[in-house]
Amino acid sequence: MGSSKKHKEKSRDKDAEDRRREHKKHRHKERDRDASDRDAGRDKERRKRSRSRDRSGRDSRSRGEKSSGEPRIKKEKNDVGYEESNTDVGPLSASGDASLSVEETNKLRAKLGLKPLEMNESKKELGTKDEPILAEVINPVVIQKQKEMREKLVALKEKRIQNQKLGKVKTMAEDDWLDDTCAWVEKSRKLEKEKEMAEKRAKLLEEMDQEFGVSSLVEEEFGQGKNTAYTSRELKGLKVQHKVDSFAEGQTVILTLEDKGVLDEKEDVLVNVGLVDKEKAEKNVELRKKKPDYKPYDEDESVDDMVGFKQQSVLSKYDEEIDGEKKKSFRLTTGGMAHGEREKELQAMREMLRSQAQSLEMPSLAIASEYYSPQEMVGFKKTKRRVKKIRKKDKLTVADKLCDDTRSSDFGSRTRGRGKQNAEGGEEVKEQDANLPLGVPVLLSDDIRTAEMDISDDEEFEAPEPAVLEEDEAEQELQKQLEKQRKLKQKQLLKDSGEKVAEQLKMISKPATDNESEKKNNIVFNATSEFCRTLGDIPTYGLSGNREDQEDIMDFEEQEEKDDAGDSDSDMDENVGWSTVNLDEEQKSTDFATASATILDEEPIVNSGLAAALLLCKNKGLLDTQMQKVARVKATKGALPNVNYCIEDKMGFDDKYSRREEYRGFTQDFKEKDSYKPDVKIEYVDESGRRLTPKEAFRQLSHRFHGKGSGKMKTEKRMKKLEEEALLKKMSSSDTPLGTVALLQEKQKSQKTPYIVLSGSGKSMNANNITK
Amino acid sequence: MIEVVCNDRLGKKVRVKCNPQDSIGDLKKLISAQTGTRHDKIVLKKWYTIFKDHVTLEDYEIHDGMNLELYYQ
Repeated sequence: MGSSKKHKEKSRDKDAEDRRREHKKHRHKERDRDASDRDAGRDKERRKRSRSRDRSGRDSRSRGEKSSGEPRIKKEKNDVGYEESNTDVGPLSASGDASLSVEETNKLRAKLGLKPLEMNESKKELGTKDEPILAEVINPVVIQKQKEMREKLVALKEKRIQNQKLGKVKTMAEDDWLDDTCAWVEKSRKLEKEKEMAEKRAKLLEEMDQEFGVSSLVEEEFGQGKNTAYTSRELKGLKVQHKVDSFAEGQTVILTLEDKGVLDEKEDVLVNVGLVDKEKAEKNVELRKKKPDYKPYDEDESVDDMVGFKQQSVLSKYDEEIDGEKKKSFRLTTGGMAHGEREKELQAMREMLRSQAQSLEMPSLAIASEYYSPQEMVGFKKTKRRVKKIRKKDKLTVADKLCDDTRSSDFGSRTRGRGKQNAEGGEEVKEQDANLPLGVPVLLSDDIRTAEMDISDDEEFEAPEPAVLEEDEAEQELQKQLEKQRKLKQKQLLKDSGEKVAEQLKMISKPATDNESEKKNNIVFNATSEFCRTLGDIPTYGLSGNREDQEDIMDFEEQEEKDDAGDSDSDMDENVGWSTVNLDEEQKSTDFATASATILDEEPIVNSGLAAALLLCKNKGLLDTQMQKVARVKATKGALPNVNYCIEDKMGFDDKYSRREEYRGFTQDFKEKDSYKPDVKIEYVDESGRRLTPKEAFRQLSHRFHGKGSGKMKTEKRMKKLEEEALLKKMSSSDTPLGTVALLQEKQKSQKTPYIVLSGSGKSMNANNITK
Repeated sequence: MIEVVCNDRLGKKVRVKCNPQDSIGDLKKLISAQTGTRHDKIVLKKWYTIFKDHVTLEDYEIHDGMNLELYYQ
């Protein structure tokens, strides 16, 4: 309680201060606008009082305010317009908090729609202890009087208001026109006049209508308007709330206007009660079917939707519940007809689309068979091998004829095609062909080509260049060489002029022969053939003219070679890296094998044939295979002992070249050799030429890779095993290791009996005992 | 007329004149007119009581010169 009191006092103090401040503000404003004397006086007074801080003064002030509260507020209200320009944000007081003046607050409150501030709160204030205020005496009599007075006043007020209201209504007696006859007469006359005027106007208009000939039309219209019968004409555009299909042809259905609210703005709709019921029943049946709502794999996009341009909405099943039921309806056309043409069109479109639709179903998967079924066989055509027809010219020139029978050495594909056509001017072309680089693909097989090269039957044979196919440099060298040869030849031709004359004569007589010879001189090089040829071909190294200092010699050599062409043939055979199968040698080896076999006693296996015998020999290690020979050669050379390419028909590699080939690889593929698939066997052999099993080979490889071999014990063990194996192989199959068979035979020879007697006791048959 | 002081302790302190019959909502409107904050963002508090808009100052026993806590929501 105490605290609240204190608080109250404090607040009161604050109040006083505030008020003072306010009044100061007031004074400022009031000064601006010529404050009234009374206000000014009061202000002064108040200031004085506040200065003295007199309680009584304060009291009186409050009282004064009480008296002047109402007018003050009113005045402020009048000021609102003036003060509107002031900013809303109040001025900051010394303490930093913003506050508004009372006027401003009131203005604001007015804006907010609140009632103005009550300034008479001090009225409520009860006197403090120091200055008790005399409470007003409650006199019941006075109160009663006041009450009565108030009631009277209210009654009077009501009466006055009612009088005012009723005063406006004229009573019968008050009406003046009944009184004044003259006025009445005038009024009636006026009415008459007006009537006449109206008639006149109507007439005028009618006349005008007639003049323009509209009257008939107007009349017609009015006449129709009178014709109230409701015909089918009026039905145009009316909506029928049913499907077109629900009306069968030749059936009478009575449609009525659908019920609707009077105030509804909806258009009129025709329905048939029976049909509505029917539809309802159908719908119920549909609902009772309980179709699953969610169809995850349903085919949404049916043809019908495409025709109707129906938009697929999300959760379309709820559409009806949200938007309300959509009823199918159609409109009547002129004369109340409905054809449903649109429906028919839609139907047609639907059908069309359905017919056009393509099913995405694929033929069911079947296990693929390796053979054609009989049905498929019908469709299968054997590609017939085309027989190339050699185009034959009807007219053959002399040169052509000559050219025909001689087989030219040029098999260049290009020249073949056009060779005959430009036989006359073909010289240059063929020369070019001869110069063609090695890389030019030639269709002919290599065998034929090599044969062609080896067999030199021409008198002008030039040693075919054992050129090495070695990329560009080799090519260039070859080109150089070829050119040189050609020049030499030409020189020679110039040298022996006599010959030349003769030749010229010959040429005149038959120029074709020259072509022939020229052709034969040409050599066509093929990448593959050259490569194969030079495999393991060391002797060609010098001959190929790789070295510059040899070139001069080469020329002479070639000239010489020309003379002994036949010899060169055999030489070439040696040079060329083809390993020919030497039948004689083979024969010899087999002979030896058989001989060795016969030394021993005959074994039953050998009877079966030579092959069996050979096999036996091989098993016994008597017959060295060629592989091992090669390996041995390699081992001596100190090359890698294990790797050995063995392309079936070609062996005898030149170590150096093969290695070089390995590194470089082939820059161009052998297009003409697409079908060529070499049978490649990679075999490994050890130092002694023994073929290694894959396991052993791998061991060797890994030892080399790791730089560490197996230990001494292991190697010894392996060696021992190998020796044993070798012994086993060498072991005679017809005799025991101790040679008992030989002893037996000896014994039989000495005794000359086909048998020996085996006796149990050593006494009687001592001599016959086998044991030594 | 009473005057209440509303202080958010962030630099805004306003003195608002109002009637005791005014509701808290009206007071908020007055405050917003002075501070510039929207009235519906103002929360008036005394200790832990949040004053509700429809109740008058009288009923909350808010007297002249009282300090109200001003918060924003």
